[in-house]
Amino acid sequence: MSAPTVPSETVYFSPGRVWVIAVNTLTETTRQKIFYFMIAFALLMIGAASFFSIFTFGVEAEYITQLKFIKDTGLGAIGVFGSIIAIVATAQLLPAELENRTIYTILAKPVHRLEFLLGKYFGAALLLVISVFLMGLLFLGVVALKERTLTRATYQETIEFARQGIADSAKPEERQKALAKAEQSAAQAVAEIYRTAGYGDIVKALVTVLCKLLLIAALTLFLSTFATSMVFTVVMSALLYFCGHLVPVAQQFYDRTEALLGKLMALVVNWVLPNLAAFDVADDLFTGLELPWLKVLKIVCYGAFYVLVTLTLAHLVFRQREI
Amino acid sequence: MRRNAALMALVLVLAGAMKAPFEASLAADRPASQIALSVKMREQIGQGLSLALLGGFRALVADFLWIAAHVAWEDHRWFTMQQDFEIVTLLQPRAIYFWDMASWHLAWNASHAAAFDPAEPRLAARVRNQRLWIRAGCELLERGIQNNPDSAYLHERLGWMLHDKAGDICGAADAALKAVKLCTDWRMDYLRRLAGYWLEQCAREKNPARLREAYDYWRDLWLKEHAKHPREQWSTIDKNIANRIQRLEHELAVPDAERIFPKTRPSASVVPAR
Repeated sequence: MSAPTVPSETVYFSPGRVWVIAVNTLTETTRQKIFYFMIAFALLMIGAASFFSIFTFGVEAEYITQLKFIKDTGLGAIGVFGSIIAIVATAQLLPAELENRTIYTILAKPVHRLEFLLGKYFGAALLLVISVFLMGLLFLGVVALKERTLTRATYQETIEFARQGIADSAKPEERQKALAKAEQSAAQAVAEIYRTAGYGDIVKALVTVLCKLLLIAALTLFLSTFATSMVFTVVMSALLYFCGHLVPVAQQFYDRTEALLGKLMALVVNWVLPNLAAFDVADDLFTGLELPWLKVLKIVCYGAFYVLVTLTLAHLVFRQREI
Repeated sequence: MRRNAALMALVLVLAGAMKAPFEASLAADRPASQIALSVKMREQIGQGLSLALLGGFRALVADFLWIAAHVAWEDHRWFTMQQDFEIVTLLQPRAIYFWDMASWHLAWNASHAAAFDPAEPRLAARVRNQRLWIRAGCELLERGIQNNPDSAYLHERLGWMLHDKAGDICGAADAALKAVKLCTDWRMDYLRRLAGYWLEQCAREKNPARLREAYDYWRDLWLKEHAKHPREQWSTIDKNIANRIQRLEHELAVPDAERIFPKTRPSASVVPAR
């Protein structure tokens, strides 16, 4: 006698169903024009970053500043446009389902609300991963292009300078020796430019930016579980975004203020909101602070922790919501 | 419903309690991100930029303001340039480059423009304005040092500014001595000599009481360097330092037993000091 088979309807949680909803959500979101607009703007800004680098004074550290401008602009653009995509794309997920009444047909099937919610979130997350990947790829390309240009120019200038410095009467051995020395210093300068370009650090910064965007998407999804309109969700998400960056200020305020009400408010902000400033590593990169993978891992864990908390809250609200 | 609300409250309380050690660890890793949003900063950058600042776009805003400062410099709008520099350095106080270049623009370019301002016929006013710009450059750099106390480069830059523009030779010597203490890279040899030259210059031109300090400094440097490279031939620079030490030993009447170059021993020819 064979064991009784469990009907599929009784499976409480199925990653397969979550995946199907996620892929479907991704397809829906990529059909929206705003996604292409945002990506196009971001790519345009990252591409134009190379031109901003001409606004540098001085000669000594020109390559440092030129690369800094490109990195700041690129990371800034990815952060700004990524955040807009995260908020706008996630904010319309549940309202659109309710408005089109597709949620009734989905939830009428053996799909648990948690699966539905997670499917929606992972769909938005996939969109963000793809967006950051595309923008990051172009960003790295722009940095690489600039690095190549600077490297070539520096190498040629160094060798040319050494050639001009060699007297016409110099013996062939002396000439050879001077050129070898110049090549050595040119190679050192090239290595320094490559180090300043910091491809590894850029990848680390992209990882932290992606973490932040995933957290913003989770916060937006949480808001949309009880919001009645998309506009409300977008506005509230934007406010949460800025308040999240205020958390370090709230922490300082809590330590310094003696007013009871102020202290209480700072405590609530600090207690409830995630510290979004923790994900901003662009300053660290330029100031030369080390950003080893362990630190990046800490930031990723912090992001994952808050995504988990936010999705738990979203589930608690959504499972009680009358649809 | 109540059970749900209680569960949510519990999740929030637990999350709040668990995040504290997390954030403390993150903050300890990244001191650069611990920049206070001072009242002065909020007043200067306005509400719109405050939002950008809070939104994590500080580096981007700083870069665009730097571009604005660049345009102001090209148009010789010195006060606008100064204002932009103030904000840029407030937004990214750990960026050494911004402090260095901004202070250089104020102390050199703006001060030069003030000294030759065709709109100001009075020489005294032009000189006063020139000094004001130099002072502004020095003050900016001093603030940069307060924000980056471990930067040997900024101390060195302050030394050059005080030496070349403010005429404060002793201040320059002190800045260079601080730079020597902080320097850990290849510029160490150059900085050691620079500090010595300025210290001696300070003693000769402004403060003779520091002549002994200058001698002790050169003597210490000489002994350290020659203990490290006893067999090396004297380079031109070493000869220069040797001559300075000999001259100081003579001027300070250092007892023969304490001298590096005793009178009784024949030494290299004395070249007049710079």
